[in-house]
Amino acid sequence: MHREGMAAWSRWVVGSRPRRTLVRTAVLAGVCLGVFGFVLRPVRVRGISMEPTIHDGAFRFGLLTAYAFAEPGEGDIVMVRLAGRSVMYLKRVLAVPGRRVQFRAGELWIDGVLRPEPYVRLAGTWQTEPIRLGEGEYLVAGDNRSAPLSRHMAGVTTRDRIEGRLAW
Amino acid sequence: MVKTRILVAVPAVLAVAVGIGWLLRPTDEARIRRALADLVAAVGKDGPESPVGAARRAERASGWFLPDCEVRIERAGFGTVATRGELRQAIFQARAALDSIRIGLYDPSVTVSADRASAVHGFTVRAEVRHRGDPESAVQEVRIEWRRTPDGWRIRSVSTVEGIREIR
Repeated sequence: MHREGMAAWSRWVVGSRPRRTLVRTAVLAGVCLGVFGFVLRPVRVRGISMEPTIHDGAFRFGLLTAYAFAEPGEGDIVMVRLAGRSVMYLKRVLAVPGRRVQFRAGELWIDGVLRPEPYVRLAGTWQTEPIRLGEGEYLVAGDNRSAPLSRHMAGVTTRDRIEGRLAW
Repeated sequence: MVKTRILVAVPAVLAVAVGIGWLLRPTDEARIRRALADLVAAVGKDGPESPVGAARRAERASGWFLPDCEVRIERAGFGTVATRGELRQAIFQARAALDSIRIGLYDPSVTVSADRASAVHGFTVRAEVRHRGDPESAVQEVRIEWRRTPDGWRIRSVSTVEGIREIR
C-alpha cells in the first residue's frame, strides 16, 4: 500500500516517463530564462513618479527588444538604465533628438508649440530654460508633475541608457 | 621507512594547504565588496540610537575613507564633502535627523587597475529613509574610487553618475 502510494506520488511528480519530463522541464526553464532575461523583463514599479498612469507597487513587463530596430518615440514609457538592469527609472519620452524643449508654468513646449499631455493629471508649475536636445538625447519625465522639478527625476538621458519600452 | 614517509608527507600536505589557501584567498574585488558592505551596515539605522552610538557608527563608516576624501552628490543640493572629518560630521547629523536609514546596492561592478593600486566601483544605490515618520526613497547610480593603502582599501572619492541630466 505504501509502495503504491509512493509510486502514484512519484508518477504525479515526474510523470510516467521521467526522462522526457526532465527534458521538458529543462527546455521550459531555458525558455523562461531567455524570455524573461532578454525579451520581456518583469518590472515591479516603486514610487509615484508615473501616477496616475502607473501606480506604486504595480507589476508590469518591459520589452527589452522594443528598440532593436526602432528608436524611442515621443509618448513611449521607457526604462532608463542605471548601473545595470536590476533597478531602472521608468519615464515617459517627451521629446526626441533635435527638438527644442521648455517647460512653461508646467506646460510642455516643443519647438515653440504647446504639446498637450493628456496623461498628466497631476500637473505642476515646472519652469525651465529652453534647450535643444543633441544627437542621441531624449527628454524624459514621469507623468506625476505635482512635485517640484528639483524633487523629481526628470531631464535629459541618452539613447544608450534606454533599455526598452513598457509592454503592458 | 615510516620516517621517510613522514618526511615526504608533511611537506606535501603543507604544500597542498598553502596551495588551497592561495586559491581561496580573497581577491581585491572581494575585499572591496566586503568593505562596502561593512560601510553600508555602518550607515544603516533601524531605530532610535544614543548620541554615543551614532558617533561610533559615524566613526566606523568614515573609517573606510581616506583623510583627503571627496564625496560629491550632485543631486537636490546635497553638495560636496571634502574631508573625512566633514564626512563623519555629515553622517552623524544625518543619523541624528533620520528615524531610519536602509540602503540597498544593486548591479555592482569592480574594476581594479593594472597596478592593483586603485579600483573603480560602480553600482546603483536605493536609499530608503524615514524622517519624522514620513518615508522617502531615492535611487542613484554611484561611482567610488578606491585606493590601496597599508591598512587595506580605502575610499578616495564618491560621486554620483547622472542617468538623467537635470534641466533647469
